[in-house]
Amino acid sequence: MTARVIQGAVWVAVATAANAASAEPGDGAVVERDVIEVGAPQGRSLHEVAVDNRLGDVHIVGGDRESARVVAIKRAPDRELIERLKVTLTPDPSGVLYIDTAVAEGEGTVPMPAEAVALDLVIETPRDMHARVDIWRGRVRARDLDAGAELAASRGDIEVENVAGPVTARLVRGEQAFRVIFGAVDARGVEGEIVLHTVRGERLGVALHDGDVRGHGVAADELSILTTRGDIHLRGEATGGGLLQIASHEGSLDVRLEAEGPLALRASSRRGAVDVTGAGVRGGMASPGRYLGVVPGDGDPALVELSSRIGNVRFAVVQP
Amino acid sequence: MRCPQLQRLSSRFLDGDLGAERASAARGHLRDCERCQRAVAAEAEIVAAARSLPSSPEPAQGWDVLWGRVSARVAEEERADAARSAASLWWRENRSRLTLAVSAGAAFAFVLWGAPALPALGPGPLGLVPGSSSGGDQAVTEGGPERDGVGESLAERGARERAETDRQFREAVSELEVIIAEEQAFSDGARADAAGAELGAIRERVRGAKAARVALPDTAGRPSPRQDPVYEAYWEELATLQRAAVGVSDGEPGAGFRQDPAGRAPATGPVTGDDRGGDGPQGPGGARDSAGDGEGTR
Repeated sequence: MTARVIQGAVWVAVATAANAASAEPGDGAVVERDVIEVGAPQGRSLHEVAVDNRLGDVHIVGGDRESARVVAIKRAPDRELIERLKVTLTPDPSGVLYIDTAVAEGEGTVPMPAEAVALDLVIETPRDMHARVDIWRGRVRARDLDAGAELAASRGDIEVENVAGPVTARLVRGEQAFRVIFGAVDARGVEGEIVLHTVRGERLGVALHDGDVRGHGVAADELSILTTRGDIHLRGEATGGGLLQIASHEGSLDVRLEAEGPLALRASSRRGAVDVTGAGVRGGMASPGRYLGVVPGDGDPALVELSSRIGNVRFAVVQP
Repeated sequence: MRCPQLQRLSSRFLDGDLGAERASAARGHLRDCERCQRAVAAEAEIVAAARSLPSSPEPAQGWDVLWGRVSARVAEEERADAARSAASLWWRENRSRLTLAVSAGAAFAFVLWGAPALPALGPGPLGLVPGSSSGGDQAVTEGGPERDGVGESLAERGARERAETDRQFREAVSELEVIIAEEQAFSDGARADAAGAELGAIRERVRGAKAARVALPDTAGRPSPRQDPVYEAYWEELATLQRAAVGVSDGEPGAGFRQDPAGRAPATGPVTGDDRGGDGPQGPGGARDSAGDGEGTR
């Protein structure tokens, strides 16, 4: 059983070890589950949680609650190693709750076997807390938050669901999924896939070097989706006065947008085919591989720029 | 899942790095597609052969030696079971291409290791020298083939994963530089110069941040991935190169529409469309004019 009292420099948060349990699963490993409740004192509130966990996954979920609840799930071959897996909670006077994990080292300690140990965190926070999470390898999940999130991993998966506010994500290798997001999204990856489902906000920036981007129900005033290799499949809306820039070097583009107002379109591919459809589109090939067109109407037009050097470009406008 | 997608994801599939959903899709595809079965089997053979080698060849020996061992091991296995499987046939059919690809990789790694001893290469587009990415110095200390992680300590795994991450960034940067070199004939010189200057500044930051990071202890005190200035600079470098590689217009939103070559009307008829289209054909810049910015197609 583990109990910790968390003390801040200026204010004191009371942490209660609600429960802790350990078990030995069939494979001989020891699993320990520590639960810590961190509440802000009178007159103060937690507005951000900053997590740095290089030992496993992090799952943050917002809810209608006043305090944060941290569940640490530790796994190691034996109890001695379990005891060396540490979680540090540091409430900052500014209202940031820092949660860090580490391995206790000392003279004579044996090296920690990487494959046999893990420390995953499940953090339940007030819905209006902003989340910052860094992990090395594993899965980051954030959901039901109203103040955005900043998430980063070297290798693994990032999943964000039902979040309002700005979301940034950096993942070197792995899959990223953003579902039901209302706010600016800035997602970048080197290798993997990015899925967008019901993402709406002023800005959406996605840059992926190698991998596909798939989007459904996407709408942003400024939208930029770039891949070097990898297809882009997008279903969304073009808003009046908006700028949508979708480009790839090697991948093909398949974009279908609903447009209530006017729209100006540039679609080009040097080596692939360009195919533009839609009842209201007037335009044609200005030169080989380069299509210029407009959808007439009143108001500011949405500017849509689609290009691929090598892949095909397919675009369709549909009336909502 | 389609064949090209599976082939792109095959390394991650073999590494067990695909999410459950995608791994399931990959397995489903593999059940039905004999061609991909052969390709994945062949890749698995190569990965297994590479992993059975010593984890870190001496830089003095370089990748040529490593590749020699890999190819010798594969050849040995082929001899041992000449009629073993379709994978062997696939390997024989594609060996030359794979050899070329791996040799290119080996040559690139050798350039990184042996760069000081090699004659200087001429600058490429944007003033870049192939293999000159800011992460190149890291290969000396952290490069080498991936290990499977068995028996590693946490500290060793951390170091290996940092090296893998660095390598992945460097590979992406290198690929983008090649693309930009190919695209140079089509690109605008002024924009290339501007991008080159921007990259120079970013690379200085990468070098500075790396120098600072090397001085830190291996486990404690390292900045997290999101806060690490090295990665921050890598992301910037990638973004700058990617914009140049895919040819999107930079700077002011909508600039691409205004930069469209003058008077290039669509061939199928006027694209006036909007009520204020003026007289005569015009491109989408006319529509932009309707937004009142006064800068339509020139």
